[in-house]
Amino acid sequence: MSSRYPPRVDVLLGVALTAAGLYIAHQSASLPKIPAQAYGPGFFPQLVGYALSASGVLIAARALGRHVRRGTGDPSADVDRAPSNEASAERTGNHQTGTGRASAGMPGQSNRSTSDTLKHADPLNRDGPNWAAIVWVLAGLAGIAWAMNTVGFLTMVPIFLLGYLHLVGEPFLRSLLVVAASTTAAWYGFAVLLKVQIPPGLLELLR
Amino acid sequence: MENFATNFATALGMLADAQLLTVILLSSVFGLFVGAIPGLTATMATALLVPVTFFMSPLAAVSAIVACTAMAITAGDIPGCLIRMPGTPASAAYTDETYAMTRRGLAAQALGSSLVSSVIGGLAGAAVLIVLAPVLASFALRFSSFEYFWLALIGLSCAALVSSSDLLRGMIALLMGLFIATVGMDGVTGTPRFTLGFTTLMGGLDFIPIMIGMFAVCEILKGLESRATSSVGNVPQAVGSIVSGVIPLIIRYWRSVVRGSVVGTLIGVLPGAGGDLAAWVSYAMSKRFSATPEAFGTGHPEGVIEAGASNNSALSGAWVPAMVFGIPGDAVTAIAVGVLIMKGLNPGPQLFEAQAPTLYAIYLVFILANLLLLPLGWLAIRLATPLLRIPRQQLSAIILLFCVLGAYAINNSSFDVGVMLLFGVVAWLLDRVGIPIGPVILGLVLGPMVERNFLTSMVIADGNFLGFFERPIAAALGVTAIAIWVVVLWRTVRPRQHSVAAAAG
Repeated sequence: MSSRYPPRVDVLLGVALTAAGLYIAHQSASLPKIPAQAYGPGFFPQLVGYALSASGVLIAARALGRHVRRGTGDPSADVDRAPSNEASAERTGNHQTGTGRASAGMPGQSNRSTSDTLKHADPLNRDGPNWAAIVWVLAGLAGIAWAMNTVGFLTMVPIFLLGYLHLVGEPFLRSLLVVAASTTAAWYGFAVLLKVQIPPGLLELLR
Repeated sequence: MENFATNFATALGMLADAQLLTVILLSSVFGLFVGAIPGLTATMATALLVPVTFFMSPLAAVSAIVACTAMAITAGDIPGCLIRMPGTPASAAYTDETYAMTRRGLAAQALGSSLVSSVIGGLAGAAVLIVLAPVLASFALRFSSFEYFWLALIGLSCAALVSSSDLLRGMIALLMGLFIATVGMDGVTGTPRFTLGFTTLMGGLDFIPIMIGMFAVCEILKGLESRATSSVGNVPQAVGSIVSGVIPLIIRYWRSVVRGSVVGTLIGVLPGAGGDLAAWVSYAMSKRFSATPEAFGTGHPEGVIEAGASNNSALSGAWVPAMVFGIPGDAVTAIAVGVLIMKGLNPGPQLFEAQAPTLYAIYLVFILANLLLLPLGWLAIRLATPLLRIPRQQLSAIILLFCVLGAYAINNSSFDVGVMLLFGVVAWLLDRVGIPIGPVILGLVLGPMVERNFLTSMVIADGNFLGFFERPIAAALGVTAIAIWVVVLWRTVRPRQHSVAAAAG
């Protein structure tokens, strides 16, 4: 039952969670109470808020404790390190160690092990994150959420997708074909077959 | 019995509908496709399918999800076997084994035997669902808010326990889900909570954009971060004849098939645990009971067969608590429960009386989908090589397109596209610090149930906590819930004391 993340991550996470939890609890406390009833609308979120901040304190304390014990050479600090060795063994694809974990009732977080296996198996993983594409996706989706109703689906989304494909290094012509075909098909499926009101936006002007 | 025959006949009639059968076929193909592409999970397939099911009849919507998930879980074995990248997390347990078989030239055998055992496991799970769910439902008819409160709490506890190797992180994920569930008007008094002044948030955060964000947008961001979306460098080898040698293997390891199906179904029925866990446990169990445990890891089919049967049976088993109590077994069934509620088929024992023919039709869909798995799965394996050569960047662009449309289409609102983005980023950040996403979704689905049943119970018991233990079943469930936590806390604390004592000695 331990973390394989560096103590710094857990401490920051703990502080953030504690603050968020206390804020939630504080906000919930100001929700109106119901007369003659002990538990109003604020009770449950307040409980969740306190539990969240308690978890935050625990995770930070655990990480600090581990850090201190490691510094003093306390052998019990290794207890915390043992599972992380297992986890890293699993990460390198050694699932025989991984199954040992499974038999102990701990399947590992399979989501992680998948993506970790993915990373391991992919030869291109040497490169760092593709920040340009990440920023494009985040900004693009935010832009779509903000302006799709006025600018229109068929204007914004193809530009967004073409930009994305350019940033992940796809050849322009192939991208153009894929985007044109998929956007048309998706628009037909949703707007015509399922009758979703998709905002035409600027295309409205052409009518 | 007469009742059974009438329901069954009505259900058959409901199923003999060209449109419904087309939906099942199309969602099967979609599931196979998404499952077979590494990095696109069965959960993502379901999340992307939900906006489309929104426009379908209740039966068609549920059928689409059942067919899609069964296919996706099985198809996840294909890239695991051929290029050592599991298509879905449920295949991760035996990816190395199947890949080792491929290197020995046994790819066809590995995929064929896991396909056949998946079909058997899926059918076994469906059989258990058909027999067990109505029995549990007639039992659950006597349940009151006290029992439901404890059941939901047990479901939440299991979700936190099994989802991560770190209990605290599982807890945090769960609490986040519970918090997200409180946004909007409170169900009892109608007081707005955490709406930040947005009127759109009065009705709460819509479940679908959250899911699309957490399971699809997040995966895209993760792919960009690790640049794992490229398929260059891993060229799958061709798969030979699948049929030859598979049946003898299944007959030889029939015990594994049976054990995998039973264990998988049981794990599936547990609230909070699903196919991923079932595959890990079954693979480990297969090794323990095997006559040749030393062969595991070298390309030995026994564990693959057992785990293959296990993850599919878990998928069916997870529907038992989902339909009877509304408590999902894993993230996929959490989504399914959301769809059931959205479609007016509120899960619970009443469903088994009021909607009996629809339920029978759903059972039949389980059987049909698992039978369809055989020809379609076979086809997918045959087509695996070209399938895995599709450039994954182009696919991720298409996924982004469907994310935007899917999130938008539910309420015709671009606000939901923003919600999707927000939760995509949240899930991505959570993943970076090792917090699992599954419990967030379970908390989100179970949160309102826990709160409503707690408040109702408190009114009934007049504010007396002991009221939660006055009814015999509630008391038993309550003791179970508390026992789970005592055991967990004891196990968390004990090893440290033990080792400190050892160090001192």
